[in-house]
Amino acid sequence: MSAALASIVFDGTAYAMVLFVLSVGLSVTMGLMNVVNLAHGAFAMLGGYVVVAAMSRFGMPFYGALATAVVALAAASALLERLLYARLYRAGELDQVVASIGVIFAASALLVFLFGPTPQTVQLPEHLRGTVEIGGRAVPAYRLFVIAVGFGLFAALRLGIERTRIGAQLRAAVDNRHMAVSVGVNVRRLFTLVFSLGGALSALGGGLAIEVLGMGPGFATQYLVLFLIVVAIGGLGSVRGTFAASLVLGIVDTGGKYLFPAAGGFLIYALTMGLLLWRPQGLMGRAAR
Amino acid sequence: MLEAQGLRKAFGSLVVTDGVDLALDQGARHALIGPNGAGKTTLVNLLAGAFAPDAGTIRLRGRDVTRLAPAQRVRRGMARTFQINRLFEQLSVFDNVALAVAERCGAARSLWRSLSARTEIVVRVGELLDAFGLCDVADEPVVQLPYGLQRLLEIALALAGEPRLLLLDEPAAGVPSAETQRILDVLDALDPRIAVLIIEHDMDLVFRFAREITVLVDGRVYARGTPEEIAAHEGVNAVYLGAAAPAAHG
Amino acid sequence: MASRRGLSGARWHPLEALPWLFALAVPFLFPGYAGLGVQVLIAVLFVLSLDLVLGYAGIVTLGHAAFFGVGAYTVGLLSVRAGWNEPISGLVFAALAAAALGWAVGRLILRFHGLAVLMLTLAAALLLQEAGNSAAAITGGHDGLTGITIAPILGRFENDLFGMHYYAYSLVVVFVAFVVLRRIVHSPFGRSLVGIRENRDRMTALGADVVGRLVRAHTFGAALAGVAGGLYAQYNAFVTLNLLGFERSGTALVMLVLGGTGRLYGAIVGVPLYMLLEDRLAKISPGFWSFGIGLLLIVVVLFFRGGLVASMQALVRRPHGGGHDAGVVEKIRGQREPER
Repeated sequence: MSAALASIVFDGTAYAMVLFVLSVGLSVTMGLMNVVNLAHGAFAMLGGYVVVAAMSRFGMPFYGALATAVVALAAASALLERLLYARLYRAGELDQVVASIGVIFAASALLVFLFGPTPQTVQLPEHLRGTVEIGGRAVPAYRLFVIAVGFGLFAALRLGIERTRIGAQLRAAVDNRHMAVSVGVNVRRLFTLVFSLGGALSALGGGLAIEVLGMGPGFATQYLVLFLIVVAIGGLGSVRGTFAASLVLGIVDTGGKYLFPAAGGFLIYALTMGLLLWRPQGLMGRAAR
Repeated sequence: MLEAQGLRKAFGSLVVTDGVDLALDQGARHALIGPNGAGKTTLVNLLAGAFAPDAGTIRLRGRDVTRLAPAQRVRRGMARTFQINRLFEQLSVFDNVALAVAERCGAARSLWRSLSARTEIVVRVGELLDAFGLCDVADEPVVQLPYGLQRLLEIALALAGEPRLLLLDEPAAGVPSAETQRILDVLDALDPRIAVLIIEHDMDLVFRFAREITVLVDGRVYARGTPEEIAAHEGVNAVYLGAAAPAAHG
Repeated sequence: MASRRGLSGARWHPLEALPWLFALAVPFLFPGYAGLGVQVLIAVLFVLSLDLVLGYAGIVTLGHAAFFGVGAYTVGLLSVRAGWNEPISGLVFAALAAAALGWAVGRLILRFHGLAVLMLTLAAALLLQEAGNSAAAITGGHDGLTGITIAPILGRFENDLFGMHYYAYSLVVVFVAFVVLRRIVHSPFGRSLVGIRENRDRMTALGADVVGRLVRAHTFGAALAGVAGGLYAQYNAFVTLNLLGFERSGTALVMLVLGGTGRLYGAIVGVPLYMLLEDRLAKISPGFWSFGIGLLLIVVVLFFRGGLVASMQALVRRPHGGGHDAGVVEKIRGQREPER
């Protein structure tokens, strides 16, 4: 295995894991609530900024800042779900698209107002900077960390969905909401919970992304398309699908950047079109009834 | 008019339709009854083209339509109503019927003159509204109509296409008994040349309307015959009609 | 009864002349603003084309700007690479190129619905953008295409200092397009698009070839967007790949929703409204504008469904439903009377 290929796979996987953490919440909420939420990136962005602020203004350590961001956004998304998104469930796709565009605008403007327009950075803790020796190679520590977080999250989510009651309720509600209601699932509360979880995860993703993708007030719009692509290709409501789609996109995009830098996003968009034309419901989405 | 042979449909391992034959002549009045889950709506979906059968053929007016898309079957003279209304709820009653009539008159070709300037469409809409007693509510958005009128509209839309074959899926379902009379009147007044297949649970309606009845159980034809034969059929009575079987009418 | 229904009827209502009279008066009332006027007209045409596709046919697309861009580049490339700069034929070519693309994309995508369509339209537009970038030698890539010229309109009207000639030209083009669009929207074909939007399954059950209809609507919408793009290229003498981008599609969407979808006049009202707000609010601060428009969108979606036009109509208390002409139902009743 050549060094370049190993690099592509490794870097691609790290990138993919960030994408996964960022997108999985979107996939689950869109699959469950049937709502198009373009503003998902805004939660990630806010999460990232909370991390930045917690570290720079309150001197928190990196992990503490991540935890703070997760909690803060969990609360904020629950609130936003109650106030705004709950009313959008019945609205058409267009209304949902437009409302979430509104949220992105408002959020970006708010952040520019509070932090200014420049990109934000963080000081990673000592042990995450630099490289780690693995099998005779120098592997960037932070990427390793991100990969670990991504895989760990995937395992935790799969376990949570497969093994817990809430997970079962979630699966039921995604599959057939009316049936779930009639067997006594409190769908309202489930929605808020799941939305909150989605927001929390995207905050985590945002915090992780600062180092990998960069963080600025344009983050939400800049990466909007990418999140949507991951979710659409993976299939709405599927954690496995999002994981698979993230890996495919992460590695292909990274490979594309190494091997065909002039092509830009061409490869990704072509891949997206091809995959969706073949399987419009995504790799692991439910086929339209 | 309609000939279906050996129709079979399975969803995964669940066989919903199992070797069903059905034939309707011009002017037929054929009822399809059976317990819930017997596969009646699935059969109608197969006939209408919503699903493709796993096996079997469907011939409409002598032509094989088994692989034909639903919209094309409609153009060949088949029309259906849905068990749960599929109406344009935000539009007025007039607009609903106008859309149906416009399709019949070839809306696809017509890009230039406005719909209301096409007098033939307007006149035909008026006739339909009149026949169904919907003139008074013509301007109201469908969503504001009482359910019985909505059901009527559902049938009106199907008839707007001037079909030769009409598939009615529980036309009286969910309609309060005070409003069913109008539906019965409409059914009685149907053009005698149209072949009609009706799914219904309301036995009074069935026995009054049908000249032939097919009983479907577990996806198979359990019994078939005239209303008298079915009413007297021991098995049918046991399986389905129970004590509720009305005395057979002439 | 007759006048109330008239606004959505096929016959022109006197009120409808207002925006056009106003547009006609603008260069005389506000002489220095002809340039801005042209930009508004171009945006109005673009958003009108989106209304056909999105508002009437119900195709939620995030890639409509691709057709705008294609139209613009068609005019641009004809002028810069082939030396063809006759304005009216330029617009025709722009329309044809955009229509061809709109047809192809439509054929490919419109058999799906929901998120898949949203994503596919977006991906298609982005793909085109990237393709345009790759062919940088021809298209000028990220730097864009400069030096677009136009010959005098109809061989006689050169663009004058105040842009009056170009304004008049744009106004005529947009007005003609509007008249055509208005006819289409009231035709049985146009009404069937509304039917497809409201209840696709029912339209199929009525015998309509839904996908074919949608493709046609999409093609036509693309053509009009192409014309708008062509106007843009002719006026600005400069085109970039941003014209195809997601931001432009999104902005058009926002303008349309503000004005109101599915009403044609939504575009006419929404575009100036948006541009006015942007102008005023952005002067205070760009953040103010961003935040303000974000909030406004949320408010409009939650409380003012149907945008500004619907809100205005609600004020005048129109009856619901009814896209048909005034008095049609009375006409029918009248016809039946003698038979009793």
